[in-house]
Amino acid sequence: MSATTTDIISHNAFFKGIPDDLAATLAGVSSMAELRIGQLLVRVGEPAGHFYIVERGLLSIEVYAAGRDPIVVDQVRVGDVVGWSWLVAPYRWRFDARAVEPTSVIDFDAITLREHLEADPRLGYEVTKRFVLVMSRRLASARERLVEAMTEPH
Amino acid sequence: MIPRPFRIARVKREIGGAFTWQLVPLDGAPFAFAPGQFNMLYAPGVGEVAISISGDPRKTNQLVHTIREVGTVTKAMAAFAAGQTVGVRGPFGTGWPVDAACGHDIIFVTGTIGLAPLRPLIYEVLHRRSEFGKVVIAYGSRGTGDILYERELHEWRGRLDMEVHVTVHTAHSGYRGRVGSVAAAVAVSRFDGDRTFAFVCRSETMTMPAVAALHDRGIGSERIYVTLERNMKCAIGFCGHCQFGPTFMCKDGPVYRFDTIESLFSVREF
Repeated sequence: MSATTTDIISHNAFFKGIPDDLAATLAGVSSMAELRIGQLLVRVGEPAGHFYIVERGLLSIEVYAAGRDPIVVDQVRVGDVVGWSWLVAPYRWRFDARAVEPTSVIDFDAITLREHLEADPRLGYEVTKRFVLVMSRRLASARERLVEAMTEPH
Repeated sequence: MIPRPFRIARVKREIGGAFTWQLVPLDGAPFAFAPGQFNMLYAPGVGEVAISISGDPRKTNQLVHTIREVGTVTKAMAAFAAGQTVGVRGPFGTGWPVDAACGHDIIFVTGTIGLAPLRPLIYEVLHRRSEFGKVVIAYGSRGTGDILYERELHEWRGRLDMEVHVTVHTAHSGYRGRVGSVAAAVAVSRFDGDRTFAFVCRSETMTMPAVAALHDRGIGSERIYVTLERNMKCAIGFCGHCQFGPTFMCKDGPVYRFDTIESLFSVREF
């Protein structure tokens, strides 16, 4: 993997402060990907073998609802991460993620990365604590919107 | 106080069972108020309710109220048509301290129908736009069809001298606006936290998360103002229905500087 990708990962807000050797490991399991407007990045129910960091553009997190159009419940913007289903058994996506704008992402091979995490507890800790922070923020946001819906009228 | 008779000049249907009355005084005398104040509106033969004033404070020949249909009185009011007469007592309560914010950035934080009590202040700030720094609105609603005063939000967003973030809980696929919490909209707003005044109108439950989001951006409680709502009856501090700790919202509020009531928010019994 090129030094450029290592550099991008080191300077990305999500991986900010990660030691250089661990950034190099992450770069080794990553590649760049481009999405067109409307293109699905992940689909609910499919195996979650990747995660992504948005470099450019905008993604919507959508919930499939039978008999109606998909519902957008969140968005992922530049610097944000898409997906933690790769980290939690049974490793299947629980939502759709769709490009709303022309979008570039860093694509991480999470199956290979999981093996690295098992073998290197230091890498495991550095990666897991960042994902726990994302999960915590999104859970807090979901709860906040739930309370909003309960306490504030239309 | 005896209610003053006003004629309903116009009724406009708003989101989710809300409606806006444009009222004109039968006696023709001007009606002055400060942004943030409320009136007691009287539906003859039904009863009286406290409703925030939501019109332009510079237009003293008319009175604008946005009312949500929720109880006996407001449900009766929802059936009123243009031309009918209602009673008005007021204005009551404290106003937003617009002068205190001169020379500073301003952020308005609100959601759904909470934009109504803030709109007079937004009008006033825009009348005096050169006296303030950045002006930001962070507004949230459930969906794209539940946005109060949507046309005005579009107009304000189109101005070059203010920033407007409208966020929704959910949207249709392909929606390019913002989806998420109001706190997330506050987080991405551009202002200098050290020199910003915040004006918040949310439900009592959601006031704390709003304040927390503002604290995260460096705005201290002494520069955060909130408006609260309780069951107001007399509106002059006699009956005690709107008591909040040692204060009465009808006369000590509804607008409070947050640091003066911050300790009350952690008292569950209030």
